[in-house]
Amino acid sequence: MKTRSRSTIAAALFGAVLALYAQVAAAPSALSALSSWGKSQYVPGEVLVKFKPSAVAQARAASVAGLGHAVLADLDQSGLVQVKLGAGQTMEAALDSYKNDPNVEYAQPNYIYRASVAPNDTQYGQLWAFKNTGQTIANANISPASGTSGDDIHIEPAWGQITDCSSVIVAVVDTGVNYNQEDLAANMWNGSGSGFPNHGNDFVDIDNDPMDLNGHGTHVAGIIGAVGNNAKGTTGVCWMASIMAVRVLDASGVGSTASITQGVNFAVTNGAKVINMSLGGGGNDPAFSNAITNAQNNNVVVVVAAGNDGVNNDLTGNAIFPCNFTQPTLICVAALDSNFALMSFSNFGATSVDVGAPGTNILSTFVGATATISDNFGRPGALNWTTSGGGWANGTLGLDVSGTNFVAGATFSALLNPTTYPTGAYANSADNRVYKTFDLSGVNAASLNFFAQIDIAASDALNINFKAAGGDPFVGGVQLAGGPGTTGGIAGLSFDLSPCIGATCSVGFQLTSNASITAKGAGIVRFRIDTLTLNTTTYQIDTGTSMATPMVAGLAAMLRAYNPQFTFTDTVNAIKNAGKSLPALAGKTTTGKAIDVISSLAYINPPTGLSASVQ
Amino acid sequence: MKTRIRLVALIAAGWIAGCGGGGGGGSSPPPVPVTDHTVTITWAPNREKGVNSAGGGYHVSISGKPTIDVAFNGATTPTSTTTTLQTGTYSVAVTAFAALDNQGGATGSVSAPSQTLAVNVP
Repeated sequence: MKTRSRSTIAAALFGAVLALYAQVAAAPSALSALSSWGKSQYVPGEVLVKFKPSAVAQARAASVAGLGHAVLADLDQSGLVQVKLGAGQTMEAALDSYKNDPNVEYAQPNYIYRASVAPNDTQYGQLWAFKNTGQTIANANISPASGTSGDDIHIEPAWGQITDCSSVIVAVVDTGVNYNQEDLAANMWNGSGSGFPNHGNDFVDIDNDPMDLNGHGTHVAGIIGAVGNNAKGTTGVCWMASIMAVRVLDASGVGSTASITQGVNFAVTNGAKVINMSLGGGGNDPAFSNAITNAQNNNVVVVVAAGNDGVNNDLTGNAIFPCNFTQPTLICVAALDSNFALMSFSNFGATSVDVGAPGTNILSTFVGATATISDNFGRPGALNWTTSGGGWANGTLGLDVSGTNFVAGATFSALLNPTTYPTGAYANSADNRVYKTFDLSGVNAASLNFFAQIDIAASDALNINFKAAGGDPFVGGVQLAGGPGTTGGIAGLSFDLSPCIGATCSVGFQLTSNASITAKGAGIVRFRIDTLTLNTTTYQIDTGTSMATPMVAGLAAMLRAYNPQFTFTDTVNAIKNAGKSLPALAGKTTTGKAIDVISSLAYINPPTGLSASVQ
Repeated sequence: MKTRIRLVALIAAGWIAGCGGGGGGGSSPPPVPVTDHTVTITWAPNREKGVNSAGGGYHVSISGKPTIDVAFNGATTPTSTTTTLQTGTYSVAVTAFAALDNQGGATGSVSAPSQTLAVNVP
């Protein structure tokens, strides 16, 4: 089992990144299942015949016997009988014969009806996206915690047709997947024959172990294909699946063009027919775009997230990739709440975002137990971090009217340089260090998270380092990020701290300057280290377009499993054309629709290639 | 006055065609004989499971004619049909159908029509 990750990606502070789309934050009930009669639509070898009231018993008997049939039962007093056909006779021919019989009012197949099928997973009652009864979601992390009965993806009738999507490999290109999770282990891709014994590959650490050290990918995977009807946990869109874990984002949820394009190409090369990417960022990235085109050329459907900024992706400056790429195989997904309203955080776009799907308070498989080590820099007392060279102090910061810049105020405990930040400027010729040692023993992964507003002159630097052995991290430590720059406002920053796991992990900030220009400096608030200890039994609620995306990826897998000859075009058409029209999505997506699983399963593409020959 | 002359001309042409030929005196074009032709209509197979299994198939619509049903025959769903059409121009379109409906029942679903094909029967 993987316990450590090595990644020193300079995150949002100093360069473009691609980050996952979840807002991170579980409970039980059970419904019974009912399924019968195989998969035929009507009872073979039988028809129902309704005789006219004028047809006497002798005439009825003659009609049936004349065709070589036999009456199985009188179904009511009005002349409706259940008829058994003769050997080798087709239902269609029988119906034609009865249609021409003057004694017959009508004849029809003996249709088969199936109950909507619900699995027995213990927490199924919490999965409002699959069956919205207006239930209250326990541990909801966003409002509303309960919604409108019926506002769901209409999947139970589809489960009467198909629950096994394992013939279609679905690649989760994400933070990896905890392939040992109790509700995922049986549904992971078997890559042993291809040299990938751990169900996928890792393009962060460059090895073949895609164990999730964040949790995001495991949650996404469970929405697509947590084992259904196994009397534990949750179920995915597919009860049986083949999930390929492709790790391209590190423990803090950050990746790069390099890791992601390798991941997409790996998935395509190894047979995935659906790729889920609940991630976004960057710019118009030709390498990334080419990887998606390669997927399309190999008949792969690619489902991606719209993003969680609450903005219109169509507007200049708001474009987010891969959502805003234009390949026909791409489906970009917005998030709906349990009233089927577009969530305020969800991005949208009449030309870039395609469909909506449930994305709030989604319970799914998780990677393990999380914990948070918070630090307020000793407030309200003195700074309790080790310093050298001066410059740093603790204090408080508030927010300006826009909420995007720090001002003097008491809202947050803060680490400041200069001590008067956000007024004044840091010193010239400085080497100001501040650091603290944290106990990260016994965990599998850790990430460093804080909010900062930073303004450092071009000739100066703000460095963020760690050192597993403790002590001054700027002596023999590892740099997480460094250099001059500006955040231009308050930025949320996140770094993978997994290489620092142990009892004596020191983390620090260093401001260095030359003898000339100075700038405003830095203010840091909400400093925390999130830790993760892997297990196989955790489930968690998450919210975001990241959660809406795998609903659609799961549907794509189901459609391709149900219709083995489907192309990517057939699959995309069935998803986009058969959804449920929602006023909330009109003008905000290309389709104006939320996905509807049974409608997509019943959708039929118009015939093509019509020609005629006349003789 | 010009309008009236045209109307007369059209009526005359119709009368000649309706006569099915005849002497064709003077400079009038020869009448077009009405004859039966065998017409085979083909299309690409749909890839939906439901179209290619029990309860599935195609409806072939030919203007002025009853719809032709091409149903799953127990092994395959044919993608052609042959019919007899008389001289004329026909609009042909095909829809695909399956038993599964969008509620999970068996009342059936039908596709949108194919692009319409104009068929000229000489």
